[in-house]
Amino acid sequence: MIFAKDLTKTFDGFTALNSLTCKIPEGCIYGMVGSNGAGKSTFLRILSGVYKADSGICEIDGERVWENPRAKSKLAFVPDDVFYLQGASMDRMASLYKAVYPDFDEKTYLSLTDTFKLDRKKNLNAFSKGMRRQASTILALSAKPQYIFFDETFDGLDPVMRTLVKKLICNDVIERKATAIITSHSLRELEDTCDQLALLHKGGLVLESDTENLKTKQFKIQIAFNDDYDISRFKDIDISNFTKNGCVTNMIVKGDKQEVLTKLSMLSPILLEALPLSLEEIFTYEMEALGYSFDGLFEEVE
Amino acid sequence: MKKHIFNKSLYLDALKQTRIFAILCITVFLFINLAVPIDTIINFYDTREAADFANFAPVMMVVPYAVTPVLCLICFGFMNKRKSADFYHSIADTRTSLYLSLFLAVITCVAGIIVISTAPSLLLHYLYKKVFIVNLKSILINLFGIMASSIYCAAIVTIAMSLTGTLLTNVAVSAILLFFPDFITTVSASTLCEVIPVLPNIDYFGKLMPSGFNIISLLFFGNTPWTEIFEDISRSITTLILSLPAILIAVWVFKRRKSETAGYPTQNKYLQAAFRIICSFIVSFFATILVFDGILSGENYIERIYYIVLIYIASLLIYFICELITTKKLKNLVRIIPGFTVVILLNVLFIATLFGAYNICLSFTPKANEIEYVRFISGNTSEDLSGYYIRKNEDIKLTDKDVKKLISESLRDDVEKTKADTYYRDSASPDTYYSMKRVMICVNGRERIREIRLSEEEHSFLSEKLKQNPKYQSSYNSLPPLGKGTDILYYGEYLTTDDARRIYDIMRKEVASIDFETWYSMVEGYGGRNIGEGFWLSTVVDMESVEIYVPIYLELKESAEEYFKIVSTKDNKKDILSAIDKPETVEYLRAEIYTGDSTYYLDFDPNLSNESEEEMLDFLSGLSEEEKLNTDKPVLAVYADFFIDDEYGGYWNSVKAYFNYTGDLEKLITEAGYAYE
Repeated sequence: MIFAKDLTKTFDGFTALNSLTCKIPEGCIYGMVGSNGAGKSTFLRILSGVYKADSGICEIDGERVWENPRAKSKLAFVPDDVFYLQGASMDRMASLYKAVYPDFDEKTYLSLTDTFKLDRKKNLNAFSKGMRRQASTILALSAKPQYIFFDETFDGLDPVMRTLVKKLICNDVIERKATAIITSHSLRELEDTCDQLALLHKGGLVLESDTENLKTKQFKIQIAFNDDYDISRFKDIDISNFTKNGCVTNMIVKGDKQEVLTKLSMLSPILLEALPLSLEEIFTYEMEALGYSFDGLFEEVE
Repeated sequence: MKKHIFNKSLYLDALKQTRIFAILCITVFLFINLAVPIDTIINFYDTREAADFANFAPVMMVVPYAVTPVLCLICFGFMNKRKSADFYHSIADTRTSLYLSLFLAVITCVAGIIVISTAPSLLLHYLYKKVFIVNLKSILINLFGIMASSIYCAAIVTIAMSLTGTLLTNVAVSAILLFFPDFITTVSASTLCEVIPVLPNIDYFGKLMPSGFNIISLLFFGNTPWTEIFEDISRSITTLILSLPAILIAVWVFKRRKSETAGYPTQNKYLQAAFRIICSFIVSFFATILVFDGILSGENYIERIYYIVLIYIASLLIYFICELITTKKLKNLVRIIPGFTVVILLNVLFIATLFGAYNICLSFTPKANEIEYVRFISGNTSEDLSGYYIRKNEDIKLTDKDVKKLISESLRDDVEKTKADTYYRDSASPDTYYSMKRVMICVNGRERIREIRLSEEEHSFLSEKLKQNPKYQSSYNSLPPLGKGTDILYYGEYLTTDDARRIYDIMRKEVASIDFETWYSMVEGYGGRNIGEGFWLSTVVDMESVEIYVPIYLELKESAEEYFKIVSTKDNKKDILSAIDKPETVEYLRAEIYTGDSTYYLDFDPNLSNESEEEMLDFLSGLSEEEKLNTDKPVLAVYADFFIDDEYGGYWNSVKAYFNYTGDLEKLITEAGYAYE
């Protein structure tokens, strides 16, 4: 299990992580989304022992990570910008991974390179960005870590490869009961892969839930009344976003869908409709609620 | 748990990373190290060549200065890029293990390059023993020095790399850490030596200077020739010892380094400030010296002021350029202006320090009764015999009250003249001849080194006193035996090294039996007839390698006769005499006569046919080829370049021979137009 408590990290006065606390259970694929600079990569680097947190606790299986080879031996980190030795081929990188990851599995490596149809002898500099990402994923998965952290891993992969990588991660988690953390801006990628999703903003965790729950516990309501009204009419409803256009209102509501609909129908609306939300919409509305929105900018210009 | 200290797999992988560069270095070094001796073998005629380090594998000297830093950049360069820093810092290792594994890979690679690049050459030298005289000890001492300084250099470069995050700052901070202490101390010490003549040459600050205990500085600081940098085994040992704290500091800095420093000039703004202040201070330091000198001499002419202003402006520019190069932010230039006051304060502090040091040095004028003892010292690694005996007797403490009085008064006199600014005027006087003596003066249990001037009378007085010292006496009548670190280095053209060894062995026996007075006068140069030929002796005195020039003296009859037997053969004599008979065939002819006080030269140039030339030929007309040389009588050496006609059209010949001069020696010296001392 990964346990982080009150993790704080600052860079030259900029707070990248601000008292972040979370628990990530074993055998789970944990998706992490957030605005740029929210602290996703910083969190993964602290988890990997690359950065030392200014304060707080960061543990894997009850052991601190920083300067702890035993804890670090259980993890592999695939950063957004992948490192390769100068002029190295995949085979050369595999030999480096073998040197630093004791559980590196040659068979998995050979089988995955065949699956991805990558030339193991070819200089990695000659690979496309997507191919280099594939290579880094292959190397990390071949290292057979108990915890594997992917930072923006799906960037640069074509849809087919994205699906393949997702499948591989899922299989790895299922077969070995490994734990994966994936950060991405593309919520659609995480939607169908992750068991749990977390939303980071300004270095803090603002939302953490299992994916299914997240999708069902938030929905969009379209409602209209004959008379004039405002938000105060819905005081018993947990509204995260409220937009009124004439007599029609769109609002994002949290809670049990059936219960909310019953409550609203009792207000005698002329229009009442519940619409499902995509994760992307949930993310956007949550961020808007936190003041991370640029919609007004264009309205003012217009 | 093993990974807490060392990771073998990582070490082996790091070695793999250095492979290409190592192969490249080995190829180049091997090529040079083999090409030179093969050339010597091909062109071998009859004189064996001394294969000490300077002509065995001098190219290996670039290892600590160029190869080691590049290897550090290869193995530790990951710290300069975020993606590579992330990778290495995320692997299951402690920082200590990561550092030590990579550091050991660098050192292994250096050792591999040294061994593989020199072993075949060494083998070749041994296979061709008739061509080379292998000085294995010199070679091993040098290779040890190269290895020790490579370890030290690697530790310093990795400290610099841990503190910084770009290639430029890696290199700049490495250079600062390696050479800044030497720069400051060398410039300060040489300035003090210049203004305080009783201080010996900067070399004699010895162990006080970083270059006194750190080999790596010697290339740029100190007067050691570059081929002799690694000769000094004591410096190599201290450099190796110094490497240990350097490695510990490197581990400490490496552990504290933040991965996020990658790509940034330095770890934090304080180090960034320190970097630009030091760079700026290095330039401004020259102005500081000028200011110090100006205040001291009171000579503040316009050029000096102009240069001071110019240097301070350059220093300010460097201050800004450092910031611009490293941060590339123009707006920072205004923010950093107040920091320049630190540079100014450092300059003021150094001027004050220099004045403090100046006053302390000149305040040391002990009275004779305050001096516990004095001992004469040497500091050169190349000596004449006099220097060799001084070096050999450096430990002898002289407590004679007359000697102490002489030293005290001479020092006081020199200091007073320095203060009155009349010291050099005194030295330049043609009426007085001064000889310099380096002396350790012990007062209250503390030794201080000073260089004092002794007039001829004072020197004679001192020599008499030294002669009376039994310790001096016993050490003088011996020369080191060959073997066990002592060997002959003959660079001349008349002997083979084996000949020189044989002559030296004879000479040793003669020195052991000669009376002290005679040998002392010969060594000190006021007695004995030195024939201007000799050889170098490489030996070790107090763990330090020294080369001593051993001349051949006519007073050491057996060795001199052995020398004449080899050089002055009957055929040579015949050739010289025939050349004298036919001056039209001579292109150049020189005669040297050894009188004991000095050597007189007479040159003959056939193109200047005048009375003097004819007179010289007359002087030489009485020479005989048959006569066996008697070293008690005047000995004349004659060199001649002349043309010999034969059935193939003739050829030019160059010959040297020795003769007893039976003519009027006094007349030869005083009347021959071309005779001079």
